[in-house]
Amino acid sequence: MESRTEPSEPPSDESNDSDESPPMSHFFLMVLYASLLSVFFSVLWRRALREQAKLFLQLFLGMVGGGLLVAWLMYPFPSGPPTPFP
Amino acid sequence: MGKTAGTSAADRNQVSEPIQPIANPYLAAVIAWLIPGAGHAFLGRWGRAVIFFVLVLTCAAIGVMLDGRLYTFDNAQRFLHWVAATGAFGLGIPYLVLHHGMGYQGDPASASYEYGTAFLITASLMNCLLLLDAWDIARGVKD
Repeated sequence: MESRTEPSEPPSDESNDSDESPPMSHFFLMVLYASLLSVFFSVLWRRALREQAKLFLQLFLGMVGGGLLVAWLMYPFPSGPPTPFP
Repeated sequence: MGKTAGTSAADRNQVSEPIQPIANPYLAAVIAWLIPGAGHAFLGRWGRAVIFFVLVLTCAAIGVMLDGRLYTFDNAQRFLHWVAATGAFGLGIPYLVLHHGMGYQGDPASASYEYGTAFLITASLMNCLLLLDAWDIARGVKD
């Protein structure tokens, strides 16, 4: 008898159909996007390092937290069956 | 009444400190458009220039990696497409290299197409903001 480990494990979002696809998830891309934008605007709008760090945290947490909040609010209203990504 | 209001606005400008341009704002804007961050380098803000250069190109590279759409000017498209193409054109030389040099368009069949498009258009709009920032710095109204 051959025993398989974790037969009911759900497929991971990071699983790729092709080797060329980047191993990225929706959440990772959201965090990456928020990071880039937060750094950009904190450097563009503030001069002092302390001020930049403060604005970065405000923007980053606002974007990521806001995204999670909207996702949570939309959770009871799915638009259809989930699609694997990528 | 309107003339009075206009005069008072002009007076306010004259009372405040005179604006001292530190460089040709038109030249700074063109350089800023051509290469992300180059406008700030031209104005002596080297630290910010390097950061902006890395940020904008990283954002654009991620967009390309995710097969995002690069909006281009197309007469057959509607108005909003032209707005997006104008924004994408703000990327400067990287846009010209991607569109004309590499023939890049994006891959609508890719699962990450929408994400890539967001990254690409964001990189372009970042560079548009850098252009305006360089313009203001060159005019002396911003540090």
